[in-house]
Amino acid sequence: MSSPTGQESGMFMSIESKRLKIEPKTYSRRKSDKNRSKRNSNSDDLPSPSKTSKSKDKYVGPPSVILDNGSYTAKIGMSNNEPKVIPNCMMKVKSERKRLFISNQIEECRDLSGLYYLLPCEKGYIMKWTVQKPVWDYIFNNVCSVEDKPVVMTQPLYNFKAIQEITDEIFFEEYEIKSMFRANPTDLAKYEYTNNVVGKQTSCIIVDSGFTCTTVVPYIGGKKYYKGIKRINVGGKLLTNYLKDIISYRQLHVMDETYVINQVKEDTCYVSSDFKQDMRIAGYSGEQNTIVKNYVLPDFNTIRRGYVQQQGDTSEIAEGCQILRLNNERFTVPEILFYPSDIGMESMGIPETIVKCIKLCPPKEQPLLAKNIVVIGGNANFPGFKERVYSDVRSYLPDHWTVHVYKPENPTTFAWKGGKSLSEDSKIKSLLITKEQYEERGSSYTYERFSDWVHTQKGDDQEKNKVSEVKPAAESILRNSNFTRFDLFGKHEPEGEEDCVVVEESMEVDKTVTKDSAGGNNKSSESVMNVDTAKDSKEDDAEVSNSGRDLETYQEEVEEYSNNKTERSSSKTAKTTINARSSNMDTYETNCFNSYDFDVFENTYI
Amino acid sequence: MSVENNAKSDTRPVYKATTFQHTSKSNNKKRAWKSLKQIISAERTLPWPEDYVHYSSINAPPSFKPAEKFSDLSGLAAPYTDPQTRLRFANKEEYATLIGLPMDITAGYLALRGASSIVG
Repeated sequence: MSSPTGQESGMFMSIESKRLKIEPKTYSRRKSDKNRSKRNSNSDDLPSPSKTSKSKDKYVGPPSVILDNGSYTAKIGMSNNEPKVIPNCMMKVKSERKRLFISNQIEECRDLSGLYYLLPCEKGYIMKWTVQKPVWDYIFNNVCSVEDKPVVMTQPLYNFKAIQEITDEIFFEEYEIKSMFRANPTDLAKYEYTNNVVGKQTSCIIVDSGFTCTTVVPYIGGKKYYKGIKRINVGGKLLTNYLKDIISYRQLHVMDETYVINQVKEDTCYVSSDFKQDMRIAGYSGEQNTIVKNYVLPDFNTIRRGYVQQQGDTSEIAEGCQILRLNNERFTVPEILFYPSDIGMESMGIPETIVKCIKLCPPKEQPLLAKNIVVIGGNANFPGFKERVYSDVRSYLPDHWTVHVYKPENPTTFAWKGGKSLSEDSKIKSLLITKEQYEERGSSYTYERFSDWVHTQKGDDQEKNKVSEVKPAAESILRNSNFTRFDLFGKHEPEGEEDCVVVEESMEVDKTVTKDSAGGNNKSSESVMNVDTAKDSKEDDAEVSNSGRDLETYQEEVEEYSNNKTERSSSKTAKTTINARSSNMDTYETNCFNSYDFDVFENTYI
Repeated sequence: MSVENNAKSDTRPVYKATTFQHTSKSNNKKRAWKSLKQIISAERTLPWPEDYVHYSSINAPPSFKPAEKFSDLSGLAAPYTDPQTRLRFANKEEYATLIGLPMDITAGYLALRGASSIVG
């Protein structure tokens, strides 16, 4: 992949740029062009006018390296190429005890029995650097060179600071890469989905079912909606291990054969669309049982890879191959993704979590989210996975919502593709952190830039009263509809000065209403009431005051309901004296209630 | 192919400074990496704001649906449970094999479906 000439010019370049202080991007462009013309030139990257005219904001720079660093496989490739899916681990085998196989070196190994994995990741987080470093060294030396190229890399959600620091150190200081951007795989998948699949910005839910866990991440307005994110600790690893266990108990002892059983899983398992029916069929014997399959295990002598035996073909058995008889295992194993409680895990399955996640989002966005469910990750490759997710989610949601589940052609590399499209977007310029920036500002800077969960939420706390995001809108809705409950839990909003003004305003409004409609009881005393006592007073007062506060902040949403307002104010004559705003808010609230009517998980969102 | 690659990686490391020495290489052995469990539990104890969403708070909650019962021996739907071993079975043939199983095997079966705790 990388030629020595490339390295020389790379060194040359780094010296040059230090001396001459040429702007790195333009310089590298020239340099890489030169390089390319030396090799066989790839027309895709040359700044051909036809290309640029097609899409104005296309970023034409040096091709970047995209690395989707999954816990089991790494998806790696240049942005002008196709991704390679290679194991992100080191392996040991019984036949060659001395050798350590790194990543795809395992292809050279003939006898894969008793393969032992050394995985760098635990639950998706890089933990064993002694494993990860050699794997990266190998990958960047032999599969794809990172020299002087921007790197777009994935990291799991809530990647811990310590991990990011070490990653920075390795990439910037040892590999001396030019610039880097890290994002969650779901971010990249969302980018790919909105830009290249739907073609417009939309809210969506990304379900990433990978090796170690399954994460459900809703995106609203292009951003993660943190309150809706859920993780299920079920992934491909657990399924393989479970299959290994049950086969060992029921048929053959295969506890050491993780690699083979993983292949068995990939070859035979499927997601049942009608679990009860399939279970009934699996109970039959003989011809009626259409589910049972014989799997010929590899002996690494004549059979290198196991395969499913064709029906009626019994010749293999005579030769003395080992055969696994897979009956209900074929669909009960992936079923764990849908019902982790089958193996005693106290957790929701994927469809239930998706629905839960939708319910946690603002009501306005919920139908949109249901329409845009994207399933990615290795487990989405199970036949029937998408259909099952669809039918289950469908059964949970109200009838008039459209539910759509999108499964990309290759769910494994979808995030990689997102990284590729992102690296071709002009936006990438502002996202990348260059080596100079890193050297200047250190690891905490990169941490802050690449960990959107830190500042998104921090900002949310600080400017609770003025952010016009959808996120606080949802909060206000929850607060309004469950005011008493929040009161019980003692969750009061911090009271700023602006707030007080707003509250007093609406209080006065309220007073006039009650005087008009119900006649004066003890309301006159309220005119001197301060905010705190208002909170403790009757519930509807508080509700109005609350809504008055929301008004100030969510003008846009209020505008949407202005049509409703006119209807309402005409019907309720008593409220005609109210100023327009609070009447708006009333209708807003009732709308919210309506959309909560079907809530199957009522009262669970605290 | 691999030999070539190995040779190449020996002579030309992926990083450009061939003389690069990791600063922590000398005391690499002493440097104990924190395990994931430690990191997560440390993260959990941090003083988070009340509604801050962090690693430990995004776990999927328990399901609302009751778990279905499957035979431990065959995986089929199991309407029966053996009160002694607490193993589930689908039919009388399975029961016949089940009563002959030694203790450690039955315990293993229970552990397999996460039912090995005494309370459960």
